[in-house]
Amino acid sequence: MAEVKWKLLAAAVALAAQAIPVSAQTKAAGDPIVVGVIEDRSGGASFYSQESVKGFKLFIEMMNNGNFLYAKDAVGDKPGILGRPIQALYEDDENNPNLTLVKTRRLLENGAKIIFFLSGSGSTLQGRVVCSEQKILCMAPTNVSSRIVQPPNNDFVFTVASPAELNSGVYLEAWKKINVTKVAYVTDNSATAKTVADGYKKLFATAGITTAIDEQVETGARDMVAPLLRIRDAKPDLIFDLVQAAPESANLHRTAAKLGITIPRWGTTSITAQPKIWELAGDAINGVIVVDNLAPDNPNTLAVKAEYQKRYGAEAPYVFLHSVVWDGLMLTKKAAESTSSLDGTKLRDAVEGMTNFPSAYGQKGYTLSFAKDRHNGASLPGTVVVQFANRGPNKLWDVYQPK
Amino acid sequence: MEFRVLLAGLETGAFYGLIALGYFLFLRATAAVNFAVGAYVMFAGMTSAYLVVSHGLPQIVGVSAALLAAVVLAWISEDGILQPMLARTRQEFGPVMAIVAFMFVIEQGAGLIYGRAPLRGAELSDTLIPFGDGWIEAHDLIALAGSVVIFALAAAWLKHTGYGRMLRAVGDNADAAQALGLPVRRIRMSAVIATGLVCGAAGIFVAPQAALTYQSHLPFAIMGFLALVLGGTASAWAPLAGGVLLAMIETVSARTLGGSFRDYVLLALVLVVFSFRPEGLFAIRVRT
Amino acid sequence: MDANSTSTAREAAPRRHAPRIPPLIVNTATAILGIAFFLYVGGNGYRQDLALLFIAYALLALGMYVPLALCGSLSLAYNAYFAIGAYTVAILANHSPALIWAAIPIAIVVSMAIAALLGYVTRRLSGFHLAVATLMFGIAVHTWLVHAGDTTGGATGIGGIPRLSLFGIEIGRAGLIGFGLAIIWLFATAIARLRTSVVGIVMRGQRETLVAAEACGVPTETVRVLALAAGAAIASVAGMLFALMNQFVLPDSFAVSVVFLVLFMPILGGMASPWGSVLGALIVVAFTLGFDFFQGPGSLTFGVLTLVVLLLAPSGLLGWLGDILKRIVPAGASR
Repeated sequence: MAEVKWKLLAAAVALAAQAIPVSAQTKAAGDPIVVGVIEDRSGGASFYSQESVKGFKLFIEMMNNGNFLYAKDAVGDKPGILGRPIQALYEDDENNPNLTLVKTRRLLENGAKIIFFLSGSGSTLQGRVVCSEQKILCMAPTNVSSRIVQPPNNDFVFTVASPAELNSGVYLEAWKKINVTKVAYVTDNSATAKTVADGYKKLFATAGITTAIDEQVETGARDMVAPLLRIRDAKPDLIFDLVQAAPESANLHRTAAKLGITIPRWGTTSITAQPKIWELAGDAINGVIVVDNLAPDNPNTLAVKAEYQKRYGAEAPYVFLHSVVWDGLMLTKKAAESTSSLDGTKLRDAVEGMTNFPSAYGQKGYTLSFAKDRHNGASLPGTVVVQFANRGPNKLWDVYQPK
Repeated sequence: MEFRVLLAGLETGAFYGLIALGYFLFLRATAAVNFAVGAYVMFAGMTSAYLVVSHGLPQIVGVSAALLAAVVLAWISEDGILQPMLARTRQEFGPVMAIVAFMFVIEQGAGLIYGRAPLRGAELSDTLIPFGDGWIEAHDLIALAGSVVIFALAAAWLKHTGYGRMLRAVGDNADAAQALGLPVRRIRMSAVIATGLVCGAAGIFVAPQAALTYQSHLPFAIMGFLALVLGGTASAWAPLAGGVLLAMIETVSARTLGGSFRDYVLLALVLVVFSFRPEGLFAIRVRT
Repeated sequence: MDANSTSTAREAAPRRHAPRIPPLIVNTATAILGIAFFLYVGGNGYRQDLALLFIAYALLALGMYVPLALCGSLSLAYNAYFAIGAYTVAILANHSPALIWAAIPIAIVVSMAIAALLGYVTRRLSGFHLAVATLMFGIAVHTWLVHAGDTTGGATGIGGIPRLSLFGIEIGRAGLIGFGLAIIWLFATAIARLRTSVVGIVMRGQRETLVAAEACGVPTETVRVLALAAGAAIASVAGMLFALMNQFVLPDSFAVSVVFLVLFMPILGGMASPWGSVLGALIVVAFTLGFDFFQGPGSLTFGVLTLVVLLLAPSGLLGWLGDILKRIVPAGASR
């Protein structure tokens, strides 16, 4: 009986300890640690970028207040990084790779110890040169181009979101289930779109998917009738939307509905990451299927989402960009805490050594794993197949889900 | 030719034609090519989209604000920039560069005021007319019909009203017109206001069709200029003919060759037309 | 509508020219400034980046200046020549590093050839027709860069360009910057001399009155095409330096927006001298990148600035400075 009493007492003490408010941990104090951010405020990737930055700003605040949600098991609960407050510096590269280099170096000039790339993939491809040169830990959590973590100059940069390579495998599996062999592609004429599009197309072609037609729409195009009629003539099994720019993507779907085209439409995370597309396309977006990174039952995702919506309102759509930015920050913190240092090489080595790191995206129980030759931490359970209904990515596709 | 392609060509053609009409009226008034007309269209469209969609104001407010904005911008271009510069130099380079600089000011101004995110306007009518397997949007038909009406009004103004008829004199030889006692300034301003109204209308028509951003003005300016060159300057209807021709070429080539060739087709068109018939389809023949 | 319009000549106000500063002084002063600038940049990575952008823009502005100021031809295809320079280096370097040196003459020849071809095809165009036609060409070239994956690496460009090495010594970023500054000085000085030489005066005469020039037997079309070709060559040198400095080329760096940025530089700085283009480039880079205040609205700021300059100081900043000089130096000192 005494043993039970001890156990009860221990449990009571444990419970009481948990009830002690977080303020007992105090806010971060001391010399700030500067984290540099490359964002796009005015160029073609500004949607993505600003959505990501919204999350980033909130998360920095949360970190400085010692609020790490579920991640505190992995990163501890010392506020900020190494107890010091995080101070973010932002530079706008206008999604122009010319400027990314200058702005990145400028961030370093102004004291940044770590760089977050929250602009387009093209920008990160250019900017990572500085990371290599100056041996600074760089995170590009939102970019999906696989080239970023391939040589040259890939030794100090890490990505978090599931890359095109991984996603394409899911598309192929899904398409097997519905007997898709012929696909019509639509892209816009921006370099960003082509980077992602070329990646996907090559992977699909290798797997035996035939290209019914490869259409291209102009940025700012008023009218998508001609490309859609061409697509209809080519009789594809489905239309794959690789248009990155929000208005053009929305216009594509609207016009398809207008013309009464019933060929199934699939898209990439470009659609799920930009709620503007759902807004602009209206009902035409219903039925579109995407391989996304957010599952409705992942408690980590829900925890971060709750904080996000507490700040920005319940109608503010929570997208995978927010989760991957959170993960990037958690990884950074863990690296710093485990090495007690801000030295770029040590941080890089620490991240490379991380395996089974809890993530805020993907299916329940999903974790990120890195290695020396694996600077993207994603794996298959990070993906989910969602379908648009009621103008949002609200349904899980009932035909196939990756395991 | 499929009906859908024809319709798309006509709708786009009417839009390009309106921009060309903006160039045309301004040209008649000041003999200067005003590349900022694309910016007037964009700014007006963004204004109406911003007020009606982002702020829920009634359509009539959005339309009036858009037209007013375009007229004001045209006015500033003429009175604030063009005339002071033309008073100083005979060369056309400086004044036109000033207009181009103003065009960028409008661009960046729109970016600051309306933000960098694309804005889509509210349709003038929500009705959808069932057609074939899908539908036709009533707004598109309204825009098309409205454009034709605007052209008719412009043609009538030029042919039947006092200021309209005197416009050509003022544009060709302002000093002589002044010497003849014509109210040069007032005639010019009436043309400038007309330009603003035409561009404003174009902006209102296009805003619900393709989301506008602060950089949309450049393609508008280019296509409008091409439409003007194609159509010629013989009458107020010439820009419409040019616009429709340009749009049909664009749409048919997109339908048959695909979108990736668009820039090459347009370049070829430009080089051919500029080299062989720069005066356009309907040119004024002046016996010299 | 074109440069030969027969509208009434408005009497231009009689112009008093600013005192001519002897070329020797200009050349020495600018050389000294150039060296000082080089020392200021030193090994600082951030300043080196700014310097590179300045060098690229200054060369592009000089390239645009040549046909514009000398022949009155506004060609807007400069992003194409910029790209030719950069991509030639990138493509050849990837075949074999030794070929980089060969890239220099090859790129120059290719860009001159294309400019000459374009100039020939558009020879009867002037004013805005020429501007729009060349703009469409620039757009088409950028589109091609993104599409032609096999040659140009497509949207993801070409990377891994090695550094130049001369006699076994690698020329690093600082070396390239020094080289770039020297090139700017050489070109600007040469253009200034050309401008006031017999050839230059003939070219400028053609700009003012085409008919009279032709009546004097000047082969105006040839002259124009040559000017366009020369401008293209200068622009391609900008591209080469750019590629060597960054060791990477992406099509986004060569979009048509570069042209519009560069277009205002000669205007801001002043059209009377090629140094105006250089000054314009310096101002633009300093304003849009160097000063925190102008972060977001960089283009707005210098759009407004250009407007202000055009309205109030139409001969650009150098001209304005010259006006001030006029007031200080007695009128009799001007030539």
